[in-house]
Amino acid sequence: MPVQQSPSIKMASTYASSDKSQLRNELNLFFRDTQPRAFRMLQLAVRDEQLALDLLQDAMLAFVRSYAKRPSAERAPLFYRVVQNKLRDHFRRQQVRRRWVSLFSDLRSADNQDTGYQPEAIEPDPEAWQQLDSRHKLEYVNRVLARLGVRQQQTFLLRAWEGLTEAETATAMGISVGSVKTHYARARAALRTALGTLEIAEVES
Amino acid sequence: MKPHSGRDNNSPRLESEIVKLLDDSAGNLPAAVASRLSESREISLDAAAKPRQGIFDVLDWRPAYATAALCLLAMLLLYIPDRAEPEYAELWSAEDQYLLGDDLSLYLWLSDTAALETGEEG
Repeated sequence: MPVQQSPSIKMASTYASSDKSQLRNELNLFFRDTQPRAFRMLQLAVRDEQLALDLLQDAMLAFVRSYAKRPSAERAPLFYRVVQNKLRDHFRRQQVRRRWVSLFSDLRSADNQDTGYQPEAIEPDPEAWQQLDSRHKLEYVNRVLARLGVRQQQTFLLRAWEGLTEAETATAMGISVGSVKTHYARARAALRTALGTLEIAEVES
Repeated sequence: MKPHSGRDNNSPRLESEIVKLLDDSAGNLPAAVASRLSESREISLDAAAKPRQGIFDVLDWRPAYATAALCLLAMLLLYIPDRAEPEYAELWSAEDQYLLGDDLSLYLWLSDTAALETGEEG
């Protein structure tokens, strides 16, 4: 004889399943919105498409495991915090690996000057900016952004592109608001130098 | 939209230009990347739907209880008869026999004998 569920249990399970589907929909929308930008940010930082995809997937899994049920207003800073943590972990691992590799390579070679993060040796030409189409402009901007230090680059992207406030950016990056201001100002100054043909107004504070 | 962002209408022209280019690039991802992002999204959403499992949820404790019970039983079977059955004591050394056989007077006598042999008093 089939066991009959009581109405209250049925109602509770219905609410639970509707809550789950609602959460899934919210997260789906959130990821659809933020995922491409987060991917581009990671790609600019690590300069490797597959690695950026792997880091993003790790970050998304870590995010849903820890912060999925947070209010939607808190999600973006928390998600970017997880992304930044993954990025930092990656660079730390890379640094440790490089230390061991350089330790062994020192025995064979005197060339131990490799510090890892070497910006591409490019000299952007501001005069050429106006003549570029959007695809080449994007390439140009990517190269200029890639020349920035990772913290300056990520601060700029989080503030200018993702639209996080200074406090949210500080939370996301795990640094102080003062550091965010410094990194952002330096990033803007570097971009201004590289893309100097554009009129740049000061940020209203 | 948040204030002071590149998306803000009052933001500097440089940032607006860069943000526009980056937006375009994020909106036109290669098909392979878009597919991988979609896959990542599905994996993450599935993970969000599952309840988080701790170590106590993952481990099945029944085999551990059974193993512990068997170990306890084995210890009882191996250890207690040694003390309870006198014939097992034959396998032990003479000193152990005296100690464990409660023959304290013989032990003391042996100790005194040993003390006399070494010249100690008292």
